[in-house]
Amino acid sequence: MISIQNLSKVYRTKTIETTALNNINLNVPKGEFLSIMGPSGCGKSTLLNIMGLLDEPTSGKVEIDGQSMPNYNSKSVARFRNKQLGFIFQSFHLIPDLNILDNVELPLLYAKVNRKERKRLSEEALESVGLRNRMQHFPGQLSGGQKQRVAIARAIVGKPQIVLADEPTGNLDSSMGNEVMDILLRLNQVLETTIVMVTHDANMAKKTDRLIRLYDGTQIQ
Amino acid sequence: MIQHIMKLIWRKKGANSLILLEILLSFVVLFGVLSFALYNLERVQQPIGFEVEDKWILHLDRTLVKDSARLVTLLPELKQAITDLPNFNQASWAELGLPYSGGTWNAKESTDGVSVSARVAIVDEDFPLASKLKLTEGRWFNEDDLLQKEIPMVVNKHFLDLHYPGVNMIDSIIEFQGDRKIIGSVLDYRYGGAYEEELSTVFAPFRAENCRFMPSLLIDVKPNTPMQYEEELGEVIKSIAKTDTYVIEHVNQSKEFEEKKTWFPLLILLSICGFLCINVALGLLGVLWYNINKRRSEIGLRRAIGAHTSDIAKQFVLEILFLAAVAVGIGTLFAVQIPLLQIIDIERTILIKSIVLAALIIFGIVTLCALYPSNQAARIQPALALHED
Ligand SMILES: Nc1ncnc2c1ncn2[C@@H]1O[C@H](COP(=O)(O)OP(=O)(O)OP(=O)(O)O)[C@@H](O)[C@H]1O
Ligand SMILES: [Mg+2]
Repeated sequence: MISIQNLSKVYRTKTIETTALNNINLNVPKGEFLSIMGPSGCGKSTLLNIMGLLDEPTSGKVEIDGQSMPNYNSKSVARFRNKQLGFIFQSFHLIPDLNILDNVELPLLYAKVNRKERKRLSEEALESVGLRNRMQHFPGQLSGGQKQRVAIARAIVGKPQIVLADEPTGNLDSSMGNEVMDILLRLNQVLETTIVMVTHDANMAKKTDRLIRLYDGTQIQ
Repeated sequence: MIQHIMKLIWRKKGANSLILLEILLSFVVLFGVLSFALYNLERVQQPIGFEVEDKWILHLDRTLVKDSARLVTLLPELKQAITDLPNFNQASWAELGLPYSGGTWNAKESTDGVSVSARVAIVDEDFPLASKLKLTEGRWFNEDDLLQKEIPMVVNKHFLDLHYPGVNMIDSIIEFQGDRKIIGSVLDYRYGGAYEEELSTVFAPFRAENCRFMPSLLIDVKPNTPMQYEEELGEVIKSIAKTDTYVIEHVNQSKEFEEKKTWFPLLILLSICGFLCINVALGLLGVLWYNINKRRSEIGLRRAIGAHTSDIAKQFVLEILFLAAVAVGIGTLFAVQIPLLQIIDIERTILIKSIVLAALIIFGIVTLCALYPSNQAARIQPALALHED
């Protein structure tokens, strides 16, 4: 599903050059739940962003579903992200001025799905994370765990093939974290969604199909 | 998408209402100044009815008016002597209503339910030649007319349109300060100048024996007559009127002086408006800039879930354009009350033109101000923006 070859990423600023990723080779088959661990600053988020076509590699190749993406700002890449990818972030990134329903249907808005269908799909996604009764609330009225479940609903509302999760449980206590993890596991098992998750929590990583470790931009396991 | 944008705006109604108010106020001010400017522009394009180049006006010692017996012989004699000079063509004595003379005499009379009102110019039989006033109908009065029972009168088109619309009034007798016979009409005679509105105006014959004010002499001068000719004129006046007290006015200079009184304040108003627009533009830029920086993570997220750079730019432009549309809408609601309530006497077309023009300027400013920050917003790197908090 995701194939990465000889991938390197170097951040150049005026003063220093940081090698965030160094010659990564990775293959994520369809339906796999992969977790990535490693110390802070080792390049986990960078790797995930490149997989998610949000950032360009300095060298190397990323192929998703056999397709490589040349221009990261193009309309076709935007459409690909919209249809095939779902993102979950440590800090949720909900839009505070939109209610839960509007937050969840945002990807469908960019996909130009009609209003009725947007509502139906969003309700369905919220149902699957157990927050259907909170549709009219605003993000500020929810707990951290609830916010992350909304973010999951938003990530899966368009039924993407791949979900990329950057420390989805990082801001949550263990019981809330477990709830979120259960939803992701169910998503992986029921819909066979490919999931790549960055985590600091070994217990979470244990529940996934495979674990890789990064250290200083290099894959060590 | 519009509905989505309306939701975002509604949730920030506090901050947005301030922007809305700012746009609304500038719209209203723009509308006011533009309608004033357009009103004057319209005026200025209409013919004033007379020529200003190579026209002099001789103002004599005002005390001469007291000796009316002398005036009866002095005035024709002086006029003859002046027009006999090689550089002076025609001349006309006038008691009231000379170009840019300022003073007006308005007469009003109601008889048989018809109310007639007009300002009166009292000029002599040579006035059309001296001023280059053009008759559109009928004829000008001559010396024979003065012997008739009814006093002859020439009127302007506005006088006829106002009092007798659609009726041919030439050779009709009306009661207006005595029995008067309308013998001719002119298109217009706006002797206050190009910015003056159309007023009902009539010309009555000047008679030296009836003078109440000291008359002045309008003289048509040959083109390129040097200023030294004023001295020649002075000598004639001295020999005939036995006075040194006189003033020679150049009509083209009076025109400049008079018209400046309107266009100069107008220019100042327009400049203030320009500054206001610049201010609004800078304010909007600042607000947009601030908003976009505050919403970096939102921008990153939108990109991640599938927004193209152009979607981001479009969103921010639409947000501010929507606010501007609401402001202009409210402003227009106020503006259309003016013709409805007939508060001021400005033509409807001018008001509509001003509304449209003010709206165009506002939308222009808003679009210009929105484009740059919105493009910057579109360029924000999603990976970076998402990483920040
Ligand atoms: N935009 C950038 N410009 C310069 N350097 C960057 C940028 N983004 C990341 N880096 C650097 O690249 C390296 C990898 O960063 P990354 O965010 O991928 O780490 P991480 O493994 O996700 O860390 P954490 O666990 O703290 O989230 C770090 O040294 C970081 O400072
Ligand atoms: Mg990270």
